[in-house]
Amino acid sequence: MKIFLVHAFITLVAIATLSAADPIKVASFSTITTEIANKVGGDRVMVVGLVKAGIDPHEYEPKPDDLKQVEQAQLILATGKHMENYTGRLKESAAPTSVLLQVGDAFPSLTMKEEGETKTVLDPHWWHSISNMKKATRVVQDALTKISPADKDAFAKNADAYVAELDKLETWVKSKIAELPRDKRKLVTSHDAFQYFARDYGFTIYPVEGVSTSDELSSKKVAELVQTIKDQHVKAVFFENIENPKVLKEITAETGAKIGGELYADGLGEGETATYDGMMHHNVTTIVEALK
Amino acid sequence: MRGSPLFRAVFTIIVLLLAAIPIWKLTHQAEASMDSGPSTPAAEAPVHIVLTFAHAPAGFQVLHLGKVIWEARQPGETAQKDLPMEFPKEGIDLEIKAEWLPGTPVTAVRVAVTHNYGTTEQTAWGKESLDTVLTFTDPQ
Repeated sequence: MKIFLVHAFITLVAIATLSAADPIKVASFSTITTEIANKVGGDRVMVVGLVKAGIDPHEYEPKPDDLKQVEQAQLILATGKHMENYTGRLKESAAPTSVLLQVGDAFPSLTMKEEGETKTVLDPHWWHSISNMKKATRVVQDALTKISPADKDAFAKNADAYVAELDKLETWVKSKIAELPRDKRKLVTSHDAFQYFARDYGFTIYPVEGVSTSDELSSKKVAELVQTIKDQHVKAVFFENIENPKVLKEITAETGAKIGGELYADGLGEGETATYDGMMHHNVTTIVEALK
Repeated sequence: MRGSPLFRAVFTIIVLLLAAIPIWKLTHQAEASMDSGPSTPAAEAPVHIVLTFAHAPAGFQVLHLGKVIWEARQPGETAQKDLPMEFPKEGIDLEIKAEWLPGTPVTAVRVAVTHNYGTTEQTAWGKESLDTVLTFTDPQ
Protein backbone atom coordinates (compact mmCIF):
# COMPACT_ATOMS: atom_id res chain seq x y z
CA MET A 1 0.00 0.00 0.00
CA LYS A 2 2.84 2.36 0.96
CA ILE A 3 4.60 1.73 -2.34
CA PHE A 4 1.36 2.44 -4.24
CA LEU A 5 0.91 5.75 -2.40
CA VAL A 6 4.51 6.80 -3.10
CA HIS A 7 4.06 6.00 -6.81
CA ALA A 8 0.78 7.90 -6.93
CA PHE A 9 2.38 10.89 -5.23
CA ILE A 10 5.32 10.91 -7.65
CA THR A 11 2.93 10.67 -10.62
CA LEU A 12 0.82 13.55 -9.35
CA VAL A 13 3.91 15.70 -8.79
CA ALA A 14 5.14 14.92 -12.29
CA ILE A 15 1.77 15.84 -13.83
CA ALA A 16 1.59 19.02 -11.76
CA THR A 17 5.14 19.95 -12.83
CA LEU A 18 4.31 19.42 -16.53
CA SER A 19 1.08 21.41 -16.27
CA ALA A 20 2.81 24.25 -14.54
CA ALA A 21 5.64 24.34 -17.11
CA ASP A 22 6.11 27.75 -18.61
CA PRO A 23 4.47 28.17 -22.01
CA ILE A 24 6.73 28.24 -25.03
CA LYS A 25 7.55 31.83 -25.96
CA VAL A 26 6.92 32.58 -29.63
CA ALA A 27 7.71 35.84 -31.44
CA SER A 28 5.82 36.19 -34.72
CA PHE A 29 6.51 38.63 -37.57
CA SER A 30 3.27 37.99 -39.48
CA THR A 31 -0.38 38.15 -38.48
CA ILE A 32 -0.83 34.86 -40.34
CA THR A 33 1.88 32.96 -38.44
CA THR A 34 0.59 34.50 -35.21
CA GLU A 35 -2.80 32.86 -35.82
CA ILE A 36 -1.23 29.52 -36.75
CA ALA A 37 0.97 29.50 -33.64
CA ASN A 38 -1.98 30.32 -31.38
CA LYS A 39 -4.20 27.67 -33.00
CA VAL A 40 -1.57 24.91 -32.86
CA GLY A 41 0.05 25.85 -29.56
CA GLY A 42 -3.15 26.61 -27.65
CA ASP A 43 -2.47 27.26 -23.98
CA ARG A 44 1.02 25.75 -24.28
CA VAL A 45 2.36 28.83 -26.09
CA MET A 46 2.60 32.53 -25.43
CA VAL A 47 2.67 34.25 -28.81
CA VAL A 48 3.77 37.86 -29.23
CA GLY A 49 2.64 39.21 -32.60
CA LEU A 50 5.13 41.92 -33.54
CA VAL A 51 3.66 42.81 -36.94
CA LYS A 52 0.12 43.86 -36.18
CA ALA A 53 -2.99 44.20 -38.37
CA GLY A 54 -2.77 47.03 -40.87
CA ILE A 55 1.05 47.23 -40.80
CA ASP A 56 2.69 46.78 -44.20
CA PRO A 57 5.03 43.77 -43.81
CA HIS A 58 7.00 44.82 -46.92
CA GLU A 59 8.03 48.04 -45.21
CA TYR A 60 8.24 46.82 -41.61
CA GLU A 61 11.52 47.23 -39.68
CA PRO A 62 11.94 45.69 -36.20
CA LYS A 63 12.25 48.15 -33.33
CA PRO A 64 14.57 47.69 -30.31
CA ASP A 65 11.61 46.46 -28.23
CA ASP A 66 10.86 43.83 -30.87
CA LEU A 67 14.43 42.56 -30.71
CA LYS A 68 14.05 42.19 -26.91
CA GLN A 69 11.06 39.91 -27.54
CA VAL A 70 13.18 37.97 -30.04
CA GLU A 71 15.90 37.53 -27.40
CA GLN A 72 13.41 35.85 -25.07
CA ALA A 73 11.60 33.75 -27.67
CA GLN A 74 12.18 30.02 -28.08
CA LEU A 75 10.56 30.09 -31.50
CA ILE A 76 10.66 33.01 -33.95
CA LEU A 77 8.17 32.82 -36.82
CA ALA A 78 8.56 34.75 -40.06
CA THR A 79 6.64 34.64 -43.36
CA GLY A 80 9.73 33.62 -45.35
CA LYS A 81 10.18 33.71 -49.14
CA HIS A 82 12.16 36.96 -48.60
CA MET A 83 9.21 38.90 -47.14
CA GLU A 84 11.35 39.89 -44.14
CA ASN A 85 14.65 41.42 -45.25
CA TYR A 86 15.80 41.68 -41.63
CA THR A 87 16.18 37.99 -40.71
CA GLY A 88 19.95 38.46 -40.32
CA ARG A 89 19.30 40.86 -37.43
CA LEU A 90 16.80 38.44 -35.90
CA LYS A 91 19.41 35.66 -35.95
CA GLU A 92 21.91 37.96 -34.23
CA SER A 93 19.40 38.92 -31.52
CA ALA A 94 18.03 35.43 -30.89
CA ALA A 95 19.29 33.17 -28.13
CA PRO A 96 21.56 30.38 -29.39
CA THR A 97 18.97 27.75 -28.52
CA SER A 98 16.02 29.49 -30.16
CA VAL A 99 14.68 28.51 -33.56
CA LEU A 100 14.08 30.96 -36.42
CA LEU A 101 11.47 29.43 -38.71
CA GLN A 102 10.69 31.09 -42.06
CA VAL A 103 7.45 29.21 -42.51
CA GLY A 104 6.88 29.82 -46.23
CA ASP A 105 10.31 28.45 -47.13
CA ALA A 106 9.06 24.95 -46.33
CA PHE A 107 6.93 24.67 -49.45
CA PRO A 108 7.21 25.56 -53.19
CA SER A 109 7.20 29.18 -54.32
CA LEU A 110 5.71 31.04 -57.22
CA THR A 111 8.03 33.55 -58.81
CA MET A 112 7.35 36.87 -60.42
CA LYS A 113 9.03 39.75 -62.18
CA GLU A 114 9.63 42.94 -60.24
CA GLU A 115 8.63 46.34 -61.59
CA GLY A 116 10.70 46.94 -64.72
CA GLU A 117 10.84 43.17 -65.28
CA THR A 118 14.58 42.88 -64.80
CA LYS A 119 14.69 40.59 -61.80
CA THR A 120 12.72 37.49 -60.77
CA VAL A 121 11.70 37.34 -57.11
CA LEU A 122 9.76 34.90 -54.93
CA ASP A 123 6.14 35.77 -54.25
CA PRO A 124 5.88 35.76 -50.43
CA HIS A 125 2.05 35.87 -50.19
CA TRP A 126 1.69 32.10 -49.84
CA TRP A 127 -1.20 32.22 -47.32
CA HIS A 128 -3.73 33.17 -50.02
CA SER A 129 -3.64 29.46 -50.89
CA ILE A 130 -5.55 27.45 -48.28
CA SER A 131 -3.50 24.34 -49.13
CA ASN A 132 -0.37 26.32 -48.20
CA MET A 133 -2.02 27.25 -44.89
CA LYS A 134 -2.50 23.55 -44.13
CA LYS A 135 1.18 22.89 -44.91
CA ALA A 136 2.21 25.84 -42.73
CA THR A 137 0.13 24.44 -39.87
CA ARG A 138 2.09 21.18 -40.00
CA VAL A 139 5.40 23.06 -40.22
CA VAL A 140 4.59 25.01 -37.04
CA GLN A 141 3.30 21.83 -35.35
CA ASP A 142 6.64 20.08 -36.06
CA ALA A 143 8.65 23.04 -34.75
CA LEU A 144 6.65 23.26 -31.50
CA THR A 145 6.88 19.49 -31.01
CA LYS A 146 10.68 19.61 -31.32
CA ILE A 147 10.80 22.32 -28.65
CA SER A 148 8.40 20.50 -26.30
CA PRO A 149 8.12 16.79 -27.17
CA ALA A 150 5.93 16.25 -24.07
CA ASP A 151 3.19 18.31 -25.75
CA LYS A 152 3.30 16.33 -28.98
CA ASP A 153 -0.26 14.96 -28.65
CA ALA A 154 -1.76 18.32 -27.71
CA PHE A 155 -0.11 20.04 -30.69
CA ALA A 156 -1.24 17.24 -33.03
CA LYS A 157 -4.84 17.49 -31.79
CA ASN A 158 -4.86 21.29 -32.13
CA ALA A 159 -3.30 21.15 -35.59
CA ASP A 160 -5.83 18.54 -36.76
CA ALA A 161 -8.68 20.75 -35.53
CA TYR A 162 -7.29 23.80 -37.33
CA VAL A 163 -6.76 21.86 -40.57
CA ALA A 164 -10.40 20.68 -40.32
CA GLU A 165 -11.45 24.36 -40.05
CA LEU A 166 -9.34 25.11 -43.13
CA ASP A 167 -10.96 22.19 -45.02
CA LYS A 168 -14.40 23.62 -44.26
CA LEU A 169 -13.27 27.08 -45.36
CA GLU A 170 -11.83 25.65 -48.59
CA THR A 171 -15.15 23.98 -49.45
CA TRP A 172 -16.94 27.30 -48.98
CA VAL A 173 -14.35 29.23 -51.02
CA LYS A 174 -14.56 26.78 -53.95
CA SER A 175 -18.34 26.90 -53.89
CA LYS A 176 -18.45 30.71 -53.77
CA ILE A 177 -15.90 31.14 -56.55
CA ALA A 178 -17.81 28.62 -58.69
CA GLU A 179 -20.58 31.29 -58.85
CA LEU A 180 -18.24 33.34 -61.05
CA PRO A 181 -17.80 32.26 -64.71
CA ARG A 182 -14.19 31.29 -65.39
CA ASP A 183 -13.92 33.84 -68.22
CA LYS A 184 -14.67 36.62 -65.71
CA ARG A 185 -11.89 35.68 -63.28
CA LYS A 186 -9.67 38.69 -63.95
CA LEU A 187 -8.22 40.38 -60.91
CA VAL A 188 -6.82 43.92 -61.00
CA THR A 189 -5.35 44.81 -57.61
CA SER A 190 -3.09 47.51 -56.27
CA HIS A 191 -0.13 45.15 -55.86
CA ASP A 192 0.66 41.66 -57.04
CA ALA A 193 -0.25 39.68 -53.92
CA PHE A 194 -2.79 37.17 -55.16
CA GLN A 195 -0.77 34.80 -57.38
CA TYR A 196 -1.28 31.76 -55.10
CA PHE A 197 -5.00 32.53 -54.91
CA ALA A 198 -5.13 32.93 -58.70
CA ARG A 199 -3.34 29.62 -59.25
CA ASP A 200 -5.76 27.73 -57.00
CA TYR A 201 -8.97 29.26 -58.36
CA GLY A 202 -8.28 30.03 -62.03
CA PHE A 203 -7.85 33.82 -61.95
CA THR A 204 -5.61 35.96 -64.15
CA ILE A 205 -3.87 38.79 -62.28
CA TYR A 206 -3.28 42.28 -63.63
CA PRO A 207 -1.37 44.07 -60.85
CA VAL A 208 -1.00 47.82 -60.71
CA GLU A 209 2.39 47.35 -59.04
CA GLY A 210 4.91 44.52 -58.75
CA VAL A 211 5.35 42.35 -55.69
CA SER A 212 6.30 45.06 -53.21
CA THR A 213 4.16 47.96 -52.10
CA SER A 214 7.25 50.17 -52.48
CA ASP A 215 7.45 49.64 -56.24
CA GLU A 216 6.98 52.87 -58.14
CA LEU A 217 4.46 53.12 -60.92
CA SER A 218 5.52 54.06 -64.40
CA SER A 219 3.08 55.94 -66.62
CA LYS A 220 3.78 53.38 -69.35
CA LYS A 221 2.64 50.55 -67.09
CA VAL A 222 -0.52 52.44 -66.09
CA ALA A 223 -1.32 53.06 -69.78
CA GLU A 224 -0.79 49.35 -70.56
CA LEU A 225 -3.03 48.37 -67.67
CA VAL A 226 -5.79 50.74 -68.77
CA GLN A 227 -5.68 49.17 -72.24
CA THR A 228 -5.74 45.64 -70.77
CA ILE A 229 -8.76 46.43 -68.59
CA LYS A 230 -10.59 47.74 -71.65
CA ASP A 231 -9.56 44.79 -73.85
CA GLN A 232 -10.43 42.16 -71.23
CA HIS A 233 -13.74 43.84 -70.26
CA VAL A 234 -12.75 43.76 -66.58
CA LYS A 235 -15.77 44.83 -64.54
CA ALA A 236 -14.05 45.86 -61.30
CA VAL A 237 -10.67 46.67 -59.77
CA PHE A 238 -9.72 46.30 -56.13
CA PHE A 239 -7.65 48.26 -53.64
CA GLU A 240 -5.97 47.06 -50.47
CA ASN A 241 -6.36 47.87 -46.83
CA ILE A 242 -2.88 49.39 -46.51
CA GLU A 243 -2.64 51.02 -49.90
CA ASN A 244 -3.51 54.39 -51.30
CA PRO A 245 -6.38 53.71 -53.72
CA LYS A 246 -5.82 56.97 -55.64
CA VAL A 247 -4.16 55.35 -58.66
CA LEU A 248 -6.89 52.72 -58.93
CA LYS A 249 -9.53 55.46 -58.84
CA GLU A 250 -7.76 57.19 -61.74
CA ILE A 251 -7.71 53.91 -63.68
CA THR A 252 -11.42 53.33 -63.11
CA ALA A 253 -12.18 56.84 -64.34
CA GLU A 254 -10.39 56.05 -67.61
CA THR A 255 -11.70 52.52 -68.14
CA GLY A 256 -15.24 52.62 -66.79
CA ALA A 257 -14.50 49.67 -64.47
CA LYS A 258 -15.88 50.09 -60.98
CA ILE A 259 -14.05 49.96 -57.65
CA GLY A 260 -14.80 46.43 -56.47
CA GLY A 261 -13.85 47.02 -52.85
CA GLU A 262 -11.04 46.58 -50.37
CA LEU A 263 -8.97 43.39 -50.21
CA TYR A 264 -6.68 42.18 -47.43
CA ALA A 265 -3.49 41.24 -49.26
CA ASP A 266 -0.62 41.48 -46.77
CA GLY A 267 -2.12 39.89 -43.68
CA LEU A 268 -5.09 39.94 -41.36
CA GLY A 269 -7.15 43.03 -40.59
CA GLU A 270 -9.33 44.05 -37.69
CA GLY A 271 -12.93 43.22 -36.75
CA GLU A 272 -14.39 40.58 -39.07
CA THR A 273 -11.06 40.20 -40.89
CA ALA A 274 -9.03 39.64 -37.70
CA THR A 275 -9.02 35.89 -38.35
CA TYR A 276 -7.85 33.96 -41.40
CA ASP A 277 -11.37 32.60 -41.87
CA GLY A 278 -12.82 36.12 -41.70
CA MET A 279 -10.20 37.54 -44.06
CA MET A 280 -10.84 34.85 -46.69
CA HIS A 281 -14.62 35.24 -46.42
CA HIS A 282 -14.22 39.00 -46.91
CA ASN A 283 -11.80 38.78 -49.84
CA VAL A 284 -13.66 36.03 -51.71
CA THR A 285 -17.09 37.61 -51.24
CA THR A 286 -15.78 41.01 -52.34
CA ILE A 287 -14.14 39.59 -55.48
CA VAL A 288 -17.04 37.36 -56.56
CA GLU A 289 -19.80 39.91 -55.99
CA ALA A 290 -17.90 42.66 -57.85
CA LEU A 291 -16.95 40.57 -60.89
CA LYS A 292 -20.25 38.71 -61.38
CA MET B 1 -70.52 55.86 -103.88
CA ARG B 2 -72.89 58.69 -103.29
CA GLY B 3 -73.05 61.29 -100.51
CA SER B 4 -71.28 64.48 -99.58
CA PRO B 5 -67.47 64.66 -100.09
CA LEU B 6 -67.07 65.59 -96.43
CA PHE B 7 -68.92 62.44 -95.29
CA ARG B 8 -66.76 60.31 -97.62
CA ALA B 9 -63.55 61.86 -96.31
CA VAL B 10 -64.53 61.27 -92.65
CA PHE B 11 -65.54 57.68 -93.43
CA THR B 12 -62.18 57.00 -95.15
CA ILE B 13 -60.21 58.41 -92.19
CA ILE B 14 -62.15 56.23 -89.71
CA VAL B 15 -61.50 53.11 -91.81
CA LEU B 16 -57.79 53.95 -92.05
CA LEU B 17 -57.55 54.55 -88.29
CA LEU B 18 -59.26 51.23 -87.51
CA ALA B 19 -56.86 49.42 -89.84
CA ALA B 20 -53.86 51.21 -88.32
CA ILE B 21 -54.44 49.89 -84.78
CA PRO B 22 -53.78 46.17 -85.50
CA ILE B 23 -50.94 47.06 -87.89
CA TRP B 24 -49.28 49.23 -85.21
CA LYS B 25 -49.69 46.50 -82.57
CA LEU B 26 -48.19 43.89 -84.88
CA THR B 27 -45.17 45.98 -85.85
CA HIS B 28 -44.64 47.17 -82.24
CA GLN B 29 -44.48 43.57 -80.96
CA ALA B 30 -42.00 42.66 -83.67
CA GLU B 31 -39.78 45.60 -82.69
CA ALA B 32 -40.01 44.68 -78.98
CA SER B 33 -38.99 41.10 -79.63
CA MET B 34 -36.11 42.29 -81.81
CA ASP B 35 -34.91 44.64 -79.05
CA SER B 36 -34.84 41.94 -76.38
CA GLY B 37 -32.53 39.80 -78.52
CA PRO B 38 -32.00 36.10 -78.04
CA SER B 39 -32.80 34.87 -74.51
CA THR B 40 -29.61 32.86 -74.35
CA PRO B 41 -26.07 33.82 -75.29
CA ALA B 42 -24.94 32.86 -78.76
CA ALA B 43 -22.29 30.49 -77.39
CA GLU B 44 -24.84 28.56 -75.31
CA ALA B 45 -25.24 24.98 -76.49
CA PRO B 46 -26.27 21.65 -74.97
CA VAL B 47 -23.66 20.11 -72.70
CA HIS B 48 -24.11 16.39 -72.07
CA ILE B 49 -23.33 15.36 -68.48
CA VAL B 50 -23.03 11.76 -67.30
CA LEU B 51 -22.71 10.90 -63.61
CA THR B 52 -21.50 7.40 -62.77
CA PHE B 53 -21.61 6.49 -59.09
CA ALA B 54 -19.64 3.61 -57.53
CA HIS B 55 -22.56 3.25 -55.08
CA ALA B 56 -26.05 4.56 -55.89
CA PRO B 57 -26.54 7.75 -53.89
CA ALA B 58 -29.64 8.80 -51.97
CA GLY B 59 -29.62 11.98 -54.02
CA PHE B 60 -27.45 14.50 -55.83
CA GLN B 61 -27.36 18.09 -57.05
CA VAL B 62 -25.32 19.69 -59.83
CA LEU B 63 -24.80 23.46 -59.58
CA HIS B 64 -23.49 25.83 -62.23
CA LEU B 65 -22.71 29.47 -61.38
CA GLY B 66 -24.32 29.01 -57.96
CA LYS B 67 -27.63 27.67 -59.28
CA VAL B 68 -28.99 24.12 -59.14
CA ILE B 69 -29.23 22.97 -62.75
CA TRP B 70 -29.97 19.29 -62.10
CA GLU B 71 -31.02 17.29 -59.07
CA ALA B 72 -32.45 13.86 -58.44
CA ARG B 73 -33.42 11.53 -55.58
CA GLN B 74 -32.46 7.83 -55.75
CA PRO B 75 -31.08 8.12 -59.28
CA GLY B 76 -29.39 4.70 -59.43
CA GLU B 77 -25.73 4.26 -60.36
CA THR B 78 -25.86 6.25 -63.60
CA ALA B 79 -27.63 9.46 -64.57
CA GLN B 80 -27.27 11.60 -67.69
CA LYS B 81 -28.76 14.78 -69.05
CA ASP B 82 -28.35 17.46 -71.73
CA LEU B 83 -28.14 20.93 -70.22
CA PRO B 84 -27.88 24.17 -72.21
CA MET B 85 -25.02 26.32 -70.97
CA GLU B 86 -22.28 28.64 -72.15
CA PHE B 87 -18.89 26.89 -72.38
CA PRO B 88 -16.15 29.56 -72.61
CA LYS B 89 -12.64 28.58 -73.66
CA GLU B 90 -11.57 29.02 -70.01
CA GLY B 91 -13.90 26.11 -69.12
CA ILE B 92 -16.68 25.70 -66.58
CA ASP B 93 -16.93 24.81 -62.89
CA LEU B 94 -19.60 22.36 -61.75
CA GLU B 95 -20.35 21.96 -58.05
CA ILE B 96 -21.36 18.37 -57.29
CA LYS B 97 -23.25 17.58 -54.08
CA ALA B 98 -24.25 14.01 -53.25
CA GLU B 99 -25.45 12.02 -50.26
CA TRP B 100 -25.26 8.31 -49.63
CA LEU B 101 -27.06 6.20 -47.04
CA PRO B 102 -25.30 5.87 -43.66
CA GLY B 103 -22.84 2.99 -43.66
CA THR B 104 -21.88 3.39 -47.33
CA PRO B 105 -18.09 2.96 -47.60
CA VAL B 106 -15.79 5.56 -49.17
CA THR B 107 -17.15 5.95 -52.67
CA ALA B 108 -16.68 7.92 -55.85
CA VAL B 109 -18.55 9.61 -58.66
CA ARG B 110 -17.19 10.07 -62.17
CA VAL B 111 -18.47 13.14 -63.99
CA ALA B 112 -18.12 13.17 -67.79
CA VAL B 113 -18.90 16.39 -69.65
CA THR B 114 -19.28 16.38 -73.44
CA HIS B 115 -19.48 19.64 -75.37
CA ASN B 116 -18.28 21.12 -78.66
CA TYR B 117 -14.63 20.73 -77.65
CA GLY B 118 -14.95 17.00 -76.80
CA THR B 119 -15.34 15.00 -73.60
CA THR B 120 -13.57 15.56 -70.28
CA GLU B 121 -13.92 13.49 -67.10
CA GLN B 122 -13.27 14.13 -63.43
CA THR B 123 -13.66 11.85 -60.41
CA ALA B 124 -14.55 12.95 -56.88
CA TRP B 125 -14.49 10.88 -53.69
CA GLY B 126 -16.74 11.06 -50.66
CA LYS B 127 -17.79 9.25 -47.49
CA GLU B 128 -21.59 9.40 -47.05
CA SER B 129 -21.62 12.94 -48.45
CA LEU B 130 -19.76 14.99 -51.02
CA ASP B 131 -19.58 18.69 -51.84
CA THR B 132 -16.89 19.55 -54.35
CA VAL B 133 -16.21 21.79 -57.33
CA LEU B 134 -14.86 20.21 -60.53
CA THR B 135 -13.38 22.16 -63.41
CA PHE B 136 -13.91 21.10 -67.02
CA THR B 137 -11.80 22.68 -69.74
CA ASP B 138 -11.07 22.15 -73.41
CA PRO B 139 -9.45 18.67 -73.64
CA GLN B 140 -7.41 19.70 -76.72
